[in-house]
Amino acid sequence: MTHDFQTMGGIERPARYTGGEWGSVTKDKAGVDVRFAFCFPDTYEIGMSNLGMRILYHLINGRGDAWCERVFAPWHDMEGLMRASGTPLAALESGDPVRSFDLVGFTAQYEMGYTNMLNMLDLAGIPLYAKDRGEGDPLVLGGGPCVCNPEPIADFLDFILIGEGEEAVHEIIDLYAGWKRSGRPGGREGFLRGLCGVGGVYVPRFYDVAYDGDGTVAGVWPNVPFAPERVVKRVVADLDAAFFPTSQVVPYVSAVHDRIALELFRGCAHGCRFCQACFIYRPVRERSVGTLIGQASRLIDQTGYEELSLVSLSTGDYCALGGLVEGLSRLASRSGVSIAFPSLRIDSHTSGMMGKSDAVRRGGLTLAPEAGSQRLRDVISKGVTEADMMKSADIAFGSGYGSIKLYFMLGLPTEADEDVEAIADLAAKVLRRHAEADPAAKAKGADLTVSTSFFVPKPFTPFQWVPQIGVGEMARRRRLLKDSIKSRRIAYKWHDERVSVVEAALARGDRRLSAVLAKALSLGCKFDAWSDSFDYAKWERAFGECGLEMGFFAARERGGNEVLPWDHIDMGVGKGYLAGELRKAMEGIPSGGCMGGCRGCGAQRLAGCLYAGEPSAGRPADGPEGGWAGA
Amino acid sequence: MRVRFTYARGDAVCYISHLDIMRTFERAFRRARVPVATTAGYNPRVRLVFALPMQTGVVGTEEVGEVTLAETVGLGPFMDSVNGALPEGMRLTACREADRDIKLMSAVWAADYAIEIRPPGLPLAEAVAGFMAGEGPVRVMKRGKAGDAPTDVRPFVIAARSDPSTGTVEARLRAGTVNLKPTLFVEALQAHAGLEGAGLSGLAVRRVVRGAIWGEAPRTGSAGAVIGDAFQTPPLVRLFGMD
Ligand code: SF4
Ligand code: SF4
Repeated sequence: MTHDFQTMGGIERPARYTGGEWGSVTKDKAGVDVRFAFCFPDTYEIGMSNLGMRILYHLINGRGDAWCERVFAPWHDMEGLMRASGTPLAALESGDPVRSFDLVGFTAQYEMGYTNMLNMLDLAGIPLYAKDRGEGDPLVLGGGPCVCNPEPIADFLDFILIGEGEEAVHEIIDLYAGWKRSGRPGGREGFLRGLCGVGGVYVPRFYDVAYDGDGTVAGVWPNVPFAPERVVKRVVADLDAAFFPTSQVVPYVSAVHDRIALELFRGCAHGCRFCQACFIYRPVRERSVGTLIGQASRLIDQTGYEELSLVSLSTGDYCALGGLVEGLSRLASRSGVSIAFPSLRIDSHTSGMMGKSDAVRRGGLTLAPEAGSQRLRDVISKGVTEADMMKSADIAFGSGYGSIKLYFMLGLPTEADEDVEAIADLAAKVLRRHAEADPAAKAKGADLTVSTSFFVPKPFTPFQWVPQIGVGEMARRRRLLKDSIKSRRIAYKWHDERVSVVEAALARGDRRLSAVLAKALSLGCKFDAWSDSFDYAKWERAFGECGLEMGFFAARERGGNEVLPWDHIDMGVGKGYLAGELRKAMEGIPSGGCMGGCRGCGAQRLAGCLYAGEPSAGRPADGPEGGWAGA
Repeated sequence: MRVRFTYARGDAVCYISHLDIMRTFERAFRRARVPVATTAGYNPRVRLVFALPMQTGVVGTEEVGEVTLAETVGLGPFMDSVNGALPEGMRLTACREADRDIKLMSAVWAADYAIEIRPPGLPLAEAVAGFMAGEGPVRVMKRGKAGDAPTDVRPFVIAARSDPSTGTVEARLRAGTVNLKPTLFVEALQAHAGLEGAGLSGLAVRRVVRGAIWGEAPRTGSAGAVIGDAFQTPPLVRLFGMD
């Protein structure tokens, strides 16, 4: 398909498909051994905001022997054109078909992107199932946070990288280049066999899944002697020394996060019990102020961006935040760049910095208490009190913030109607503070937004065993909250509960869900993270036609000794620790973060943790056998 | 100091919207460390204007813009450093100091287009010649102040021709405050050809290139006679060179 005026005229934001951005990398294809297609299973704007993709794109392109290109999911209109003209999915830089690449890597950022991943394979003309690919096909790999439970997409991927890519990706490409140079000994199988020696790599075909009569997993065992029994997540031990790109692609079409991104640290010490990101990125590792300032300075020069943001799970925790903000402010005023703090916890410690962040003030203040009542915040171990929030609100309003957003989760374990109503109460209190701080604001209408999403139990969290509430009950609680919000100045926004049900089923699914995903694709599911594309009825049908029930995966409480489909993956954080956290949750006891000392989550077995010191090899590995005693 | 420049945008970047082009230039100036002047206020913007917004998908060879700088710079180094900081496919082709305060956007009178048509083999030359020789109104739906309305486009067409060997229509069309999109001109050609019974069915636009942008030459004395007829062609000068 040619990019012709009339054809592209009907396409929304056509510059998504034409590449050529500042900072993108073009190489002579004859001069490289390995061509890597980095696929992001969502739109250009979303993919271009992803830090992991940015890092690995430049990391691979830093090699002389490899060329990494980007591939995004074409929007419905473009897909229609491609299918009508028989044009296969191509990479942005060279325009070459993805199926001609050596390695095709997908990053799985959220479960609702799975069908897009399959659709992209289909558009590329690559067989969906790994078993159907032949020697002429690329090797398809997966990575990203979602693959901590790799099973639902295991049938589609030749191999999966669990954990961080900065070191492992080099090892994988080295191995591939060597295998290719020496005449591909053993074919694809030979390469995959070699990969079993690379830490963090999981080759699904080398593992069999057995099921019990009740449909639960009996076990996932290697079916070859050379595959490890458990695949241990890769982590970069020294984040400060780890690769971080000194250039960034500057898109023409505004990305969702269209600015310089600095990554301060990985992991989170708070341990909120619903939060998968917290646990799967542990141990906590920081970059130093000097390293970050150096990276910022180079990126400001290279990109010409007008804004810089600090991205980490809980930016306010960064040990030397004061010094970092000082240094960045100096850099910013010299270069006219503004600094944004997307997920800052506001307290007296950080309030002084708020004045330095115009971007935050423009965008308003966001607080995520997650639960309305203190009781429920204790259950989820969200270490934030009403007094904290009021103080944050006062500071924010006092320093001129106009609007405020509050994020909550509905359907958390043990949630009762009082907890739902408490959300409305809390919002009303914050609003009152606002009115006191700024009497003029009253006239302006809605300036407080309450947003709710539904709780989705995720693997590798203390709540990995708990049931999700049913879809009808979700709708009831959503309406209860809506009715409890009395003020017209509070706007209420909620996420579609049916998406959360499918997400919950996929998040904790086993390998049988691969068939469900393929079925969902064939029924036309794609862009499921987009409300106008999501079709619940099709998902119900897809599960049904595969003889499975969504509720079995989403709404079923897992037994204490049940083998979980992801038990053969070692993310560092131990099952026994998670079970202990769940017990405390059910007793309503919060744990507090690691700032007061290591809580023994197990992640420090993998690498040194900021709050636990050097790796402690002596600690007994928390194996899959450690269950939770049931409710 | 105010710098007027022309820039080219090639096929690789022709799908970038006008707004995104603005941002691309702002960032290129920052990368090039050009001392741009910014607007005052909470949300300072680079003082940058383009003479004529560009329809997405159109290639440009002589687009005209002006940027105000906070300091005086050499034009040669300015051009070199900006060109070193622009993405591939975008390039400054000329620049000069523009001191006289003309309003760049309202000074635009016309623009040249080369419109490539597919499929090959359509009777384009005949259609264009027929259109230009005709006199009656040729109406197509055109956006005006009161929404879309059938509008006679003839007064918007200054000149047009087609070389039968290339499948390309070249046209000089009104541009700026009184503006005709090249695609509408093609529609008008089709409408006219339909009236004549010489069909251009199956016609599609393959590529559009905008060439020179023209301004109305400053009038002296007696030229005052043409004022009052918005469609009468005044003497034109390249906007880039206009003072
Ligand atoms: S503070 Fe809580 S919710 Fe936020 S990243 Fe850390 S654990 Fe997750
Ligand atoms: S290793 Fe210890 S200090 Fe580090 S995250 Fe786990 S519990 Fe917290």
